[in-house]
Amino acid sequence: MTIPRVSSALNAVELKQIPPPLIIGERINTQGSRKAKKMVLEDDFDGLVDLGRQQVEDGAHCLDVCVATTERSDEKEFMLKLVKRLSLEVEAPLVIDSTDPEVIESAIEQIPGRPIINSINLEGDGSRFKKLAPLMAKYGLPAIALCIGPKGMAKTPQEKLETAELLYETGKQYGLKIEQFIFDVLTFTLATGEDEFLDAGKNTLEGIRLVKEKFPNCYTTLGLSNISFGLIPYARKILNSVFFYHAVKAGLDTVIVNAKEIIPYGEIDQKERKLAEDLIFNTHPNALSDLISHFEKVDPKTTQSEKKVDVDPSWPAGKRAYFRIVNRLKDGIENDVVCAISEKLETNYLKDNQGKFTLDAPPETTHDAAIKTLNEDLLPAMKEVGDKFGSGELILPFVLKSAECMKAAVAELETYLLKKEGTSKGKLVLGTVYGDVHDIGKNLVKTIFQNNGYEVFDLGKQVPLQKFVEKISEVKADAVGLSALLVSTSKQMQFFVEHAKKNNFDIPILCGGAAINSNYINRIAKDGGIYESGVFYCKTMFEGLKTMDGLMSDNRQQLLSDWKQKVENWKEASTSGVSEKELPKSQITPVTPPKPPRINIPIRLDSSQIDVPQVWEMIDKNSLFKLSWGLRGKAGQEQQKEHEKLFEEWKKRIEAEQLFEPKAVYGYFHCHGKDNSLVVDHPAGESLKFDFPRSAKQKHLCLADYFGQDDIVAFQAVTVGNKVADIIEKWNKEDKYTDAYYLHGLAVEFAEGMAAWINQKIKDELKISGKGGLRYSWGYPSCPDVSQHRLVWKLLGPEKIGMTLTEAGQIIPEQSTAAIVVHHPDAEYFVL
Amino acid sequence: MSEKEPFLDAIKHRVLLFDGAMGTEIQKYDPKPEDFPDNKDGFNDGLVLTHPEWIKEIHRNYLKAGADCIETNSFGSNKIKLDEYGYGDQTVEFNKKIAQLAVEVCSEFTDRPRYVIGSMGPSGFLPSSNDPDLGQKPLSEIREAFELQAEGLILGGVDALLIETSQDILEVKLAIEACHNAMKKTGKKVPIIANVTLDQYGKMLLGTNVQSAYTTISDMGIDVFGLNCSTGPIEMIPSVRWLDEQKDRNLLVVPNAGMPENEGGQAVYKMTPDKMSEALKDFLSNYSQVRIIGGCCGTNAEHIKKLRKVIDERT
Repeated sequence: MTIPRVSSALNAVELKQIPPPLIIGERINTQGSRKAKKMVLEDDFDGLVDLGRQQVEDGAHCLDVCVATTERSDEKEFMLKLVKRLSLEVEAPLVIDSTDPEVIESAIEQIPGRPIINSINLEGDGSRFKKLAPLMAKYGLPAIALCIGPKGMAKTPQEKLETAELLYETGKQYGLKIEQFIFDVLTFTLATGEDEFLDAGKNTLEGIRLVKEKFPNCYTTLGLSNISFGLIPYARKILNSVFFYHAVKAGLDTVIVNAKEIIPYGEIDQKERKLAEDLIFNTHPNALSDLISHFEKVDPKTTQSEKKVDVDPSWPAGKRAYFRIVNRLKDGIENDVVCAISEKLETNYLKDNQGKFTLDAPPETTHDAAIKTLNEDLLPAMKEVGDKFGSGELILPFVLKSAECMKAAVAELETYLLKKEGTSKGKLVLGTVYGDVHDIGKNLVKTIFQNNGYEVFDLGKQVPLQKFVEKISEVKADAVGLSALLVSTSKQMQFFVEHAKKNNFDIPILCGGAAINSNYINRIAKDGGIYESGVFYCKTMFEGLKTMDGLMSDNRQQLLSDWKQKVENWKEASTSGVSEKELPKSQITPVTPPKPPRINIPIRLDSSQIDVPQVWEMIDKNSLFKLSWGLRGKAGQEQQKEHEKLFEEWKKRIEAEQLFEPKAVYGYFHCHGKDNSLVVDHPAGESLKFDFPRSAKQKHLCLADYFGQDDIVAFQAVTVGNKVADIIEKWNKEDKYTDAYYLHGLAVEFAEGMAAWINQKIKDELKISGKGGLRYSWGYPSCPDVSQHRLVWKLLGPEKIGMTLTEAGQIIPEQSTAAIVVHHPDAEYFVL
Repeated sequence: MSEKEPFLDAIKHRVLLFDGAMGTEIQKYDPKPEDFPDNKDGFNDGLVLTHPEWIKEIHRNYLKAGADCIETNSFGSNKIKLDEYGYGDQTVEFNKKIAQLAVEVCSEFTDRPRYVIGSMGPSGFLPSSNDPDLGQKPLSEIREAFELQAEGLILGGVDALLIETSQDILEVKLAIEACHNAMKKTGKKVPIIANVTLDQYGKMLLGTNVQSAYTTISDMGIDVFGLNCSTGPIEMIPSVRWLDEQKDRNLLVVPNAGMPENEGGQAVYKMTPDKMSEALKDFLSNYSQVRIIGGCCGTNAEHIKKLRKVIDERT
């Protein structure tokens, strides 16, 4: 199969989750859960199925199932009955966990899906492997592969990698593919303090990294809680959570966990985070004792990290509601919503009915304030949750919990919205598209439309195209609303529009969702002929409402013809009318390449090797004050002096507190320019192709033109370090917004200064004086494709100095830059 | 005579056309109970014993209409189904005979390779359900029922095995295993086509969606994944599109002549040959993984003629 997936009787799940990891719920396990064991001993199948369903509701993608007990001898029969029940009633694919290969085999046979095997290894004579590998081959199943070889458990990173290699090599004899391996590089407890295990945490992380580097198409997993075995419960929770964060950063794809036991990294107290990290990375000999003594002293109920996640009653109610949604604190959100509305009203209508607040005013009075609360407090909170999920800081279970809070908040809010009485203003058929299970956005649209007098036919989530079509004709709808949260599922909108065009529908289509934008909607509206009845991008539900109001008004024709004209004039941003291939080449001719001091080797510089004072000199203060610190106009000039002073103060503070951890990497490589692309030779043999756009302007420049058939190119990447991002975040949380703002601006400019400094260093090494040696960063017109960062990362390995990439290719931390350096003396900056 | 181009090579090079419905064609002979073996009314597969000339004629008509492949009249000839008519203990022989009959008709056509596809319909049980009647059959019994059928079909000389009109994805798993076992036993390898049946919302009877069905069986050594029955072509679009996007397995699309409409208690299929061929033409031009088309319930030789034209006009 092209995309590795596993399946239940109801649904399929991709092993690669974006963002990672795939969560395997661990609770149906007689070895790990007393509750599960009790249920097994009591034949409580209903309870076990509920346990499975609960975990799925909490965000588990798959369910581990282990029913072995010493008390019962019918593991196989029990397993068969249970997987049959689970398959019929729970949509998550199963992970069959047993020490007995025969139990695994029978379960696989019984499951109407493609499960995961837990687990295989090469312990002893390898007999377990011999029994299970043929099953993996026969059904195409993935298996968790423990890094245990004939010599025992792999402890060093190298041993872990070697055992993974051995597992794969052995599997090949059975025809297994690398995608079928979910390597568990093993985790050992850090609680013993034994010399042998001091580096166990570090080794696991490095092991994951090495295995993923060697086998990019394999998967990895961890039995996370092993790391803290033997510590007191609260310490375990912290250590597990911190370790989890670093493991995902190291490349962990899946995790077997009780999602409730994980705290998001950003919410762990800084001190406790450091204690855990010192132990994981074995930074000093007292790391374990420090951690133990800290957690012995603290009562979990009063620790900062527990205390921190509670609202401060002195905050404005809107902020409290916001905070509750972001931090998943559902209890009390209704009262905060009511207060937030109340705060936006001039008269106080607040009433306290035994702890439950209400507003003693008709919706006519409260409507506007309620809408304001929705727009200013509740929606921004969900946006922040979405952003944090996208950046990997929150895992799915937390997003779902936040969504629950949001639902409760909106339900409360609805009571203060005006319900327009009388006949319906129009009919909307609404649903989340096929394959998408996210319905918060859709539900909000429903609420707003209903409250504004429209009749809404809500088809729910995962709605197939056919169902929309049927409902539209059944109720004679005036418009249809399609919602999608994911990039992959937003494609369904395109399908719908295509279908509508083909069958000459005359229904306007309203589209909304996080993954789409107006360009996308314009494209699908226009491709293959404009859909006359209109495809509208509705950024918010209010834009949707406005569009609907327009469509139902006398202005309908005007609205549609305006829309049509807009779409007719719309052009894809990157294509400038003429197809790029038709553009003539520029007149640039390549020059003899300079000789770099070293080639094919990434050169890494840490803080001590970077001339920091010189970097400070290279900071563009103009840009700092104007762009980053937002100093403008007359007032700006007057404040110039003050800002100079501020700059000096911050410089001192940054140096004293070591807020910046500047690091850089650069290197020279062989390359070949041809047409619109530059092919760079990776030292390991791979050819990396960079496609660049050609300008439609007179000179018809393209970056590739500056390079000859056998040439030299330099790449550089610099960062201010991860610490500063954490601090900015922390300050923002502590309401030190101004400080955070200044530090952020300075960090951005410092990164630019470093880029200039490294750029100069490269010029010096290539002996380029005067013109030439220009650097181009991704995201600018001549070099627009940010995803090319991935190629640069292959060459320079900036992840080794803490710089990683998001799925879209953006650099983390934000205060970093990367560039391609062009030695050609005639190189210039240009637009397309 | 030169060796026939193997089935899998053929679908690599061109789109192959299956035949149309069998059941509705048999009805046209207006069979009486005494036409069936032991007067067992409705035992369609048994006609191979009592009225082989009918079956031959139906096969022949489809081949004349331009079908590249004909399905054996063995839809209900797994052991469990045959047991209902008292022929279970002859499953291998019975299927062999049915296959041979089709092979014989095919050999009358020498213009281009024609293929015999061994049809294997459901057992009638739902092994993944907990239904007190349908969900309790031991898995090994279901597997064996198919294994014997596959063995007979292979011995009878089919060019491929077709698991079709499947309602329960677990049964498909068992049937695929059965096919592999039968191949091992007979020492003869034939391609496996595994079909599922989806409702108008893209789900199997017990709620399995197409993604799940495909994921479950796509790496079990099948050569073609397909959809047949239950709906017309239009309702299949989202599923076919998703399957095509996987760019993985060859696909078969054998829809009914539209959604069945209930007229006085009878399922009626109203999609005309023209409409049907138009829809399948779109499939072929939009989805390059679709390598086999044909017709299920409600289709006849007229539909197949039109589909022949669609394929021929493409090349």
